[in-house]
Amino acid sequence: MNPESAELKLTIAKLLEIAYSTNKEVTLQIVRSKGNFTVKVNENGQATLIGKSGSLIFNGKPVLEAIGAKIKRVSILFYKDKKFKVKYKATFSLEIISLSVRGSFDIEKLLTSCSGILCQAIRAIKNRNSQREKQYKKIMGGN
Amino acid sequence: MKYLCIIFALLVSGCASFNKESTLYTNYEQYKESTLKSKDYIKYFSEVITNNINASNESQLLFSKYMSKELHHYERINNKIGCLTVNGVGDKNEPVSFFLEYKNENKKWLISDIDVTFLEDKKNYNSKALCPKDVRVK
Repeated sequence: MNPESAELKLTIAKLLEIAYSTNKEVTLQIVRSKGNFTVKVNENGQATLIGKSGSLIFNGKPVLEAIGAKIKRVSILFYKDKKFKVKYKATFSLEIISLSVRGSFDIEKLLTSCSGILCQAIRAIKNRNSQREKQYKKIMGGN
Repeated sequence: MKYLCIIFALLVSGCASFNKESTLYTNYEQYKESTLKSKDYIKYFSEVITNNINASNESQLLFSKYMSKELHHYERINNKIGCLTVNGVGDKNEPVSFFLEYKNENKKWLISDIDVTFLEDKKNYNSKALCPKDVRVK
């Protein structure tokens, strides 16, 4: 079964969530600074958030494992649209094909919702919380 | 009369080369039709791809299932490499594009690279033939 677009968008949200739960301060500095920022995940699941103000390494493996299909790498480019509105382009390289997804979301909404639900990140990724996933999908514009 | 015949012949050959412009799309249509049958579809892929197939990733060759309705397509061929872009929508009417690279191997056009892009809006469709490497985030 090949991954669907909503699943990929959810993965993008979860990667940001892990970055945030790994280091809230650095993550906020990067996403709030001027200019683009990127998230790259390699085959071993090592993820890197890179922006003009710095970078942060975190473990993206649990999120990629949840997709099912083997992911060789992920590259996501985030760029500012309006205030707090972020557009993104992402490519998930599978073994044979690549799946790319385009979208936009409110970064503040995503990160601030963390205080209520999102911050239980790592634990929740291991035990999937369908209610939270629904909320993420809504924020990320998933179906 | 002789000259008229020559002009007519030139026009006909012109039409024939115009038809050649849909080579890749015709090939894509044949691949798509083959996905409805057994495992016939494998013959539409280059060795670059078939050498890496195993039981867990073979379903990726059925990428055409991501699109339930086609809207437009564009293709270009440069010597032995071709690019085909197919725009359409998925089951829930969400916009999706296929970017395919073709290689001419032993006089056959075979799919050698694939990107499936899920777009945010139909206005974001590309209106030219692009290869997967042109659209991937690096």
